[in-house]
Amino acid sequence: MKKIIYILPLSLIALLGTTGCKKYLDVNKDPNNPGDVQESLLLVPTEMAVSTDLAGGGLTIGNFTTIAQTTAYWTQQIALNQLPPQTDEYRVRPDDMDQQFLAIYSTILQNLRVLNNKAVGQGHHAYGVIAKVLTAYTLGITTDMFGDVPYSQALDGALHPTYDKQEDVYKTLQSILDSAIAENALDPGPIAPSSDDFLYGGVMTKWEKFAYSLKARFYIHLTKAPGYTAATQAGLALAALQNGFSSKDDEASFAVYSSAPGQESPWSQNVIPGNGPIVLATTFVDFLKASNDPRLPIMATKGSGGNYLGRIIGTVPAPDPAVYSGVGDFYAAPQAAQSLMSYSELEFIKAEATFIQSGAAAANPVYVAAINSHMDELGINPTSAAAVAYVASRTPITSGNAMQRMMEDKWIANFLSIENFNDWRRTGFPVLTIVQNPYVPTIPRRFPYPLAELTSNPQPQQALKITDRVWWDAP
Amino acid sequence: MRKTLSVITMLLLITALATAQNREITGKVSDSTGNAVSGATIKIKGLKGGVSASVDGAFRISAPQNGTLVISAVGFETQEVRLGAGSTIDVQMRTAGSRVLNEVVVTALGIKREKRELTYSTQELKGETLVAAKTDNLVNSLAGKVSGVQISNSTGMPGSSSRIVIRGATSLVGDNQPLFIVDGIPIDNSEAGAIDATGGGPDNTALSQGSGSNRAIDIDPNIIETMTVLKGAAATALYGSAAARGAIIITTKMGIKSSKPQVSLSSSYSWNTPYYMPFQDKYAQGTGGKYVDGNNGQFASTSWGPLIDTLRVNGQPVKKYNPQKLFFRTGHTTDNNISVSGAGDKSRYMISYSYLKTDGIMPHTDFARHSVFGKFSNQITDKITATVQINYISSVNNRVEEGNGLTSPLWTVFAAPISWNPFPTTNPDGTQRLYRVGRNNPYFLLDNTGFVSTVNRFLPVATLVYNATPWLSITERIGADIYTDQSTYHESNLVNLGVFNNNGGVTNRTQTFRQFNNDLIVELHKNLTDDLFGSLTVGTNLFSQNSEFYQQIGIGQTVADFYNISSMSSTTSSDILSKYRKVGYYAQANLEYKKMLNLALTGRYDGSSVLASNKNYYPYGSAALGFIFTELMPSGGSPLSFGKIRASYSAVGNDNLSPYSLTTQFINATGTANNISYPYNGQAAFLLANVLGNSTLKNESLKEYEGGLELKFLKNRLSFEGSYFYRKTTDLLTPTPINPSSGFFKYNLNAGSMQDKGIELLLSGTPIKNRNFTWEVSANFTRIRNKVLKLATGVDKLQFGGFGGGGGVYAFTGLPYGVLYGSKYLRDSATNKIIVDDNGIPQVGANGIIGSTQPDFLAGLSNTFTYKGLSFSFVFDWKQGGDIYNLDDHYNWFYGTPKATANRNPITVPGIVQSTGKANTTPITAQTWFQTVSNIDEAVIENSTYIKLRSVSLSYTLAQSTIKSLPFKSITVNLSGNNLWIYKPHFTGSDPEVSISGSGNGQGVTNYLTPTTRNFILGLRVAF
Repeated sequence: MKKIIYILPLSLIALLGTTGCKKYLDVNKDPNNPGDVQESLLLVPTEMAVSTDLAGGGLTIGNFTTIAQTTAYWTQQIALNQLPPQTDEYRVRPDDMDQQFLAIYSTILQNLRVLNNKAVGQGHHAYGVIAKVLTAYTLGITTDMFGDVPYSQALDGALHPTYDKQEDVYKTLQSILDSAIAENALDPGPIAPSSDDFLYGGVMTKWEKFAYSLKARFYIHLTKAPGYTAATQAGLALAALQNGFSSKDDEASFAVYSSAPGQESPWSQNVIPGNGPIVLATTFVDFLKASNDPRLPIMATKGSGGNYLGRIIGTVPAPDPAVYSGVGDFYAAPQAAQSLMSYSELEFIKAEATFIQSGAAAANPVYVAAINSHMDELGINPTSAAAVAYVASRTPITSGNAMQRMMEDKWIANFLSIENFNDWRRTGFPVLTIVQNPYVPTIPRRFPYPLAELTSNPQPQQALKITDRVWWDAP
Repeated sequence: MRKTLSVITMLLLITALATAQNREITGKVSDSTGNAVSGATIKIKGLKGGVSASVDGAFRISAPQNGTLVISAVGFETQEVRLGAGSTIDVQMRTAGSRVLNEVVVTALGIKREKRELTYSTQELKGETLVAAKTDNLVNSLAGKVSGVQISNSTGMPGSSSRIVIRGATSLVGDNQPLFIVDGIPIDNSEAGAIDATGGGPDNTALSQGSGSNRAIDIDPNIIETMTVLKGAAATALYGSAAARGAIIITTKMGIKSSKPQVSLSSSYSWNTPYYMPFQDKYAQGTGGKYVDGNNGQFASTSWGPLIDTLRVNGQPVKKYNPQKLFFRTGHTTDNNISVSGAGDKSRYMISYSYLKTDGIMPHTDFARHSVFGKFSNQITDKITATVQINYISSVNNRVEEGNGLTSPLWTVFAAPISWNPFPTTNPDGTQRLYRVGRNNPYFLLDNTGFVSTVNRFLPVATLVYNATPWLSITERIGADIYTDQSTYHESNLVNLGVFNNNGGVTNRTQTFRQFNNDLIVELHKNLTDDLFGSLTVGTNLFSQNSEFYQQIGIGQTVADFYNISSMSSTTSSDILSKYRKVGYYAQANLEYKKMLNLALTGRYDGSSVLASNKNYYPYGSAALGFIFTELMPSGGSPLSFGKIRASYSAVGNDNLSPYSLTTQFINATGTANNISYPYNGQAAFLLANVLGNSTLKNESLKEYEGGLELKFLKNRLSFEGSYFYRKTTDLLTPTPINPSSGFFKYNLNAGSMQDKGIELLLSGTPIKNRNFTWEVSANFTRIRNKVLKLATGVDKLQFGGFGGGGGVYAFTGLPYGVLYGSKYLRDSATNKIIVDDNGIPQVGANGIIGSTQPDFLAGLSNTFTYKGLSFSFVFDWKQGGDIYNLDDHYNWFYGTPKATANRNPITVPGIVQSTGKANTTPITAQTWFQTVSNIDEAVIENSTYIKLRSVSLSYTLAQSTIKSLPFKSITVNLSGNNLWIYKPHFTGSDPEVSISGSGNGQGVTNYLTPTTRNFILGLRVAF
């Protein structure tokens, strides 16, 4: 019995001894991931995502449809050698867009907002400028593809943001760019971007030119928007592009890719046979062939038959896709640069705006300069016989054919760019015919909202079909 | 801490019950083998009170001169001994016979109790049964034997994982498998999976690279004495939140007292032959009936060519190949075990060594496991017994990738044309030789890729039992589970579109796992009155888990045929540390009245490190009642020899949450922009995680009602056990998808609710039993109905497995857990008829629900016939219903290789023409039909019903008279077969018991998995 008198208290002490252990459980602090990081660490992956995911249409895991790839299908530059209906036959469904919204809102916009708030808060204004320009660039593509989009109420964990009207988003785009330009006049502060800025290496004058060039892009998008006139938009665009890219040295070309593993360019990954296979569409190849375009051998590879052969979208796939032409190395080599916005795009905006304001004769030399800027980009001497012959075959433009000629050449110069889809919707050029075995009855004019938005954030705009028009795409 | 106070009060009350008698008797209680029976109750007939024997069986009691001692112990027949003149009495107890029902089972915390007392459902399997099952993975040895339990093997790959779920799913995306406990210490049963070199996450990795091993595969069945399945929350509440999904309690063997050591040797060898995928063997490579000669540089992925038998190329017939027979081989398993055990007066021991080696049916795949086990117990003093044990396991598993990644050789085995000769595997220039583009030669992959996982694991346990008084014992038990899993995957840069994207590479992953568990348990048991027996257990638990995943990815092979990571052109590393701790305080009280009425109450208070700091302690408990109504009936006469009804209610908390889910951190940006890896050009990169942390997460809750009936008839020759349960989980800890416009993709929430209802029946009997011949039969049946009651607000479905395009395995509100969702045929909304286009071709419609993976019921049947030394037994396992997404068909129909594509008559799809609204009359070719519908998920859903002959075993133990002159105690020869026969009325693949997700939640999807095997086993067992 005596022993019990010892044992009981001892065991109770043991019981109680383990109770003062609030500390014992206090081990839930994440040792793997930091709670805060400096600006440069956020700039690198957001810039990379803008180039690789958004502009380059790079696939993310478990995802087979990206915006930039899809617009290249829909403007019939490329084709998918698979049994229809696929993306090139307009089969794009809400769940295909989940990864796109993840890239746009989570990877890019949310992190640009964190970057901007941090930079502005600490007076590191150069980072603030970059965050704003990239935000405008991304938001612009988003609204062009989807129409009304969440922005003013979105991000930072907002669970059910209503969508902003596209017209309001367009006003926001210009104001974001204006504030970026204004902020660029401020002292960049003690910490400024340099090698962490893969696009411009911290040269802020180029960022400002990029901001003005984007302003011009967004002005020209509204040429037929309800309540806006083409003349006014052309004037605004011409004014903005005065301060835009002045040569191809200024253009927004993301040129850090290399053949090293894990550093390859997005289009080099997109055209890997297992990811498609993606080949060139007959519409694009035949257009260049018909006009003896000297750019064809650079933009396309030869098929296994030794010729340039495009695939007719919607037909039975070839057993061996090697018969078709592929995307040329200039665009699809591992070290190929990815264009966010090219100097030649700005030249074509200038040509179009000049045509709207001053007519075909005034626009003709600007149009020629625009074509030549792309020849130059591809390494073709604009004074070479082939280039001169090509330009001669396209000029002079008349008031009747100017818009078609300019948009056809912009479609070539903006090869694989999302802008082609905007230009086709705005101008109807290049003339596209509906593909064989289409998934929807007419060529789509927008993207579906992602499934994740449909289920978690129901909004009236989500009922729109992909064949419906966005606000600025007035008939 | 109020609970602890009430515990103290109870302790003090019981202490106060002291007894005083007149004459002192000492003695010892032992069993028929001479081993001490500790804890036996010694009472004086006709008097209240009594004493318990100490750990060495000794007792001391005061008794009247002419009294009678009544000695009882769990598992033995009660004995009465009249006291004579002496003051010392040794009692030998007889093991309980079949007439008296006092089967002993192991319950939570390793406490042994008589099954009759239990107020909940358990089922026990003996170690011999598990050994006899001859499965590499311990989990598979349960198949067909336990009610309420679903076992799903994943593939025929050596070392493949197997999933076990008790009483249905309770978590949406978290773990649904039970807790595994070896000798009171929880062990890890997680699955590390294939190497995720691309940062795609475990789901994508499983789909494209296959799965891994569940770590219970490390446990050698040879060391197991018993394995008890605790099913409901009432049975497991004492274990705490980790056992909310049920528990598998493994008790290891221990030596028994004998004059000399018992030496046992066993050895077996098995031949394993594959269940081939049924395929068409008529048509050659090509398309539209035209031959494409893949042997001579032409390319085509399809086998929609001409009949091969009449095909001539340059006048010569085209040779036919069987791609599967060429590729697979007969696998072999050797399993050897030696054990030595024994016991002396004060100590007992057991030493065992096993070596298992399986060579898979796929070349270059194998699984080898060494298991060393030692257990030693010693009675240090009269009252203190110490037991120390260690189990060391070393395993090496060589695998080849499975699934739909292009490094899976099965792509070009199951989809290869029969006219294609896979040899030579390379062209003269060293490149791969193949019949199509964009894939790899299967034999080339075997030589140029590989995955090896090397595991070293220690499971030490130390137990100290202090029998302070006959009615009070204190147990201190400390144990650990420590292992490292060193895995390496390598791939040549000649592999087309592999994990490393034509660059070649090596990934090294080291998983270090350390888990410690400490229990301090105080047990009191006492006859409170003659009719009322009470026991009380109180204890504390400390638990700590540390793990580290260190991964180094080396991309860019620089030296041919050489795969050290230092020779790769670039390397990146990641290191994921995880720390998880818990504390628990628990108490259990049992009251038994007249061996008729049992009341069990348990309570537990848990603290968990992973929950919000103001919500990380949570209480729960259970109450249960059992009533043995046959005690009220007159004995004899009635065919009913035992009858019990029982009912329980339990409410259990659960912290099914990964550490660090409360905050939103910045994460390394690798994987967020396609192929790009960071640091990039020397620049590191971080992004805010896209899973939004939640600092308010609390435990999820499970409530369960259980009722049961146990009956024994005809002197226990026939017995029945049935249970019904209803369980509901709420506040499920779920990373829930949210609108991406929030800037995040998932949000950690307490959201969702699920219910499981089920019945479990077990019928067993001995139809024939005489001196020479016995026939024993046991049948079990399980039917579980699961329903997802609620998901987070604004979420109607949740994906936890599957494939691209939104198709996969989902939870939908109002439907059973694990429905299959994907594209359907385009149908006319009025008539539900398939809509075809003007060419008669069906169209892909919207996504919808296309199947459910939940089975209708599970059943098992075991029979054993024994005639003298000869024993014959077999086990059937039946799974009725449950759909499977056959991704093999999804791909292979397109290619024209499955059996179904042998019929190439044109098909007129019964349906409506979209443009005219009239019935379709336009036939399409078989190729068009199969290639079109291969793209419609609904078309490749198949019912996975199967009946399997799990095992057939014939064993012969040589008669003692035969081996008398030999130095053996016994010799047993065994001939058996596993999975000899599969009945699968609907499934078109080889075996419907498959899963691309391994033991994960995303069950019900198969794609390019190693076929399972038929095993023929020859075994020998010798005892000295």
